[in-house]
Amino acid sequence: MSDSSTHNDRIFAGLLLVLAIGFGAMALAMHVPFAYDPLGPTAFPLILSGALGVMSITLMLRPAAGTGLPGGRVGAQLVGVLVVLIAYAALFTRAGYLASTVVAMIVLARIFGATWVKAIISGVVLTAASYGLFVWALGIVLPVGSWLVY
Amino acid sequence: MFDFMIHGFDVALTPLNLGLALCGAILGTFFGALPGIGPINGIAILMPLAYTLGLPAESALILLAGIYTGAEYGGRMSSILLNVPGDAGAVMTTLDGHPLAKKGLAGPALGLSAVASFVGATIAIIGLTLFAPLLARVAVMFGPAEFFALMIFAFASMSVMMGSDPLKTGIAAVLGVMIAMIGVDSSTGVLRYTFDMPELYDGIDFVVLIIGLFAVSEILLMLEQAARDGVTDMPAVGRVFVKFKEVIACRGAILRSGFMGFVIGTLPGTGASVASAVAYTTEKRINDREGTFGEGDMRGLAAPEAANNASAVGSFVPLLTLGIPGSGTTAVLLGALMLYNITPGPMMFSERPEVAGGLIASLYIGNVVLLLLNLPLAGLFAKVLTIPRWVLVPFVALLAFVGVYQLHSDPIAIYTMLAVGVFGYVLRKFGFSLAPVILGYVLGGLAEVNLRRALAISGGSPDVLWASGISIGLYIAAVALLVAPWLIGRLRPRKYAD
Repeated sequence: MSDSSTHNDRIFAGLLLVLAIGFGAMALAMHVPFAYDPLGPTAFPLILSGALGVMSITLMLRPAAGTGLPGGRVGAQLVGVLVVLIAYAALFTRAGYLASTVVAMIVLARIFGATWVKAIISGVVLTAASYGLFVWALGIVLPVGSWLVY
Repeated sequence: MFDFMIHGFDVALTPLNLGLALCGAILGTFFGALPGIGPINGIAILMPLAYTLGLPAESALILLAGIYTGAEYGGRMSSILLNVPGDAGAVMTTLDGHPLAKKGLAGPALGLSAVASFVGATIAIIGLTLFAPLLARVAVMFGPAEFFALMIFAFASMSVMMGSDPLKTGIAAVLGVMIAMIGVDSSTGVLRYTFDMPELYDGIDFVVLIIGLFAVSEILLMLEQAARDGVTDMPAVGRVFVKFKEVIACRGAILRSGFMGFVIGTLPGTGASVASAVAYTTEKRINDREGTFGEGDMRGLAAPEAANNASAVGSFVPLLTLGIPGSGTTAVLLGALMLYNITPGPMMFSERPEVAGGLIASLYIGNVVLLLLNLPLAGLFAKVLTIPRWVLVPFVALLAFVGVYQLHSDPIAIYTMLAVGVFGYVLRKFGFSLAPVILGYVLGGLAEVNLRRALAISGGSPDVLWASGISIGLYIAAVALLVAPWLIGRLRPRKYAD
């Protein structure tokens, strides 16, 4: 997707313009019962909305080339990394630090090109070493996981 | 007048703080040398951990400042050895540093850059010691109107000096200010942009924001670099040694660049990348008679190295005296201070001299430690460059998760961090840099508070904004900064156009 054309920048500028309009509209819709200062809480957001609006239109007229999100293999890997990170976040407290971390580390290492053997070794070593460092050396409390408690 | 320094050395020379300065220097050099992890990412990742150690404020700050200056040292390694800058401040170092390494002079190049960094940083630390208390005295007179004018000046200097594309820098800064608007408006209690989510009532937390922006987006960005892993043929480092004669040959470049780096560093919103670029182009203009710059000229390596370390130190000046960050990295340090409920500003020199003085004293110590550390151990640190990404990325992810969990013990904070990370990644892919976002977040919030406070005091009359000489001076300086590049471009004959 990232080619030498400029339409990616134009699309992004369009999204920024929508953001600017939405940001301003939300500021106008705010219900302010009483403000102690003459400006109140909506003036600054309106200024920002105007500034972003003007700048996004300028960007639309003068887009740079070669920007955009990657597609193909890198795009698929990107989705993979995000899925791992979200799953890691979801399991972090539920499954506990050791279980969630070792799985996340192994899968991440795989996505970044390690063989299964290397991924498993580095995942186990990283998890064990970090647990030792955080819990025993630094005294940080890490989640043990609800499956061990109940 | 320099009582705070005597106090500061008392603080910095305690065994705990000396040890922390050493730890910071080692950790910083290590993180700076890691491919893709510069000072700003390094501090963002390590800050929550430093906080959980339960250190006193000045000790935590000494540790973080050590990491900051250490990372500026470490960042040059991948520039010189691999031609891959560790962060924006090290781009100029590749121009002559890597050709030197290819000539088999990797050791002398690393040695020279360590000496240049040391001298540059020393010039800047002396400048900080002399200049900061003076500026703090002026800053005591600042009211809300003057602070608002200062923010305008900071935004002007940021848009001119940061990044190659002023328009995208401006957009990034505005996006940062918008993020700062999220949460309860403190003076009216109105909920702004919270979408009825209680988690957003306190706004997006600073630590969550910086870890998301700098650590998570870096993880995603590394996917594209992963393909390059196999092809790193690193030149041998050999013994890191630089001849006295070679340093003397670069003395002009080092001294000029150190001074310029300090001055540029003190400007709010500009950091090491600008300083090293200005220093390099200046030296090229003065010295490049035989066309050796870019082919491995020692002076072309010494200049940006002296400048980026000097500017790293210089950016402490606005942080310690005015409470506004001089660079993206000092914006992160400001967040660290806020964790400790310390609001940096002119009163810090009188009210918390142990923090201000201790920090400056630790910079003197850390700088010597770094030089001693980097001459014999550069070869060891260079090994860090060979860490494959499949070890590095999981490691960074782990530190980011543990850091955010430590401060919030809440999975929502981790999800927010991931969302911010995706946002940061998209911005970077579209050619925006992230330092303006973080500066916009910090400066924008302050600008609004001070503007509203000033107008509340005056009863709504805008005249208060330009009522004092300080304010007018700052507005004039802001306009001058905005006009200067255009004016210089017009006046100079187009000889250097390339």
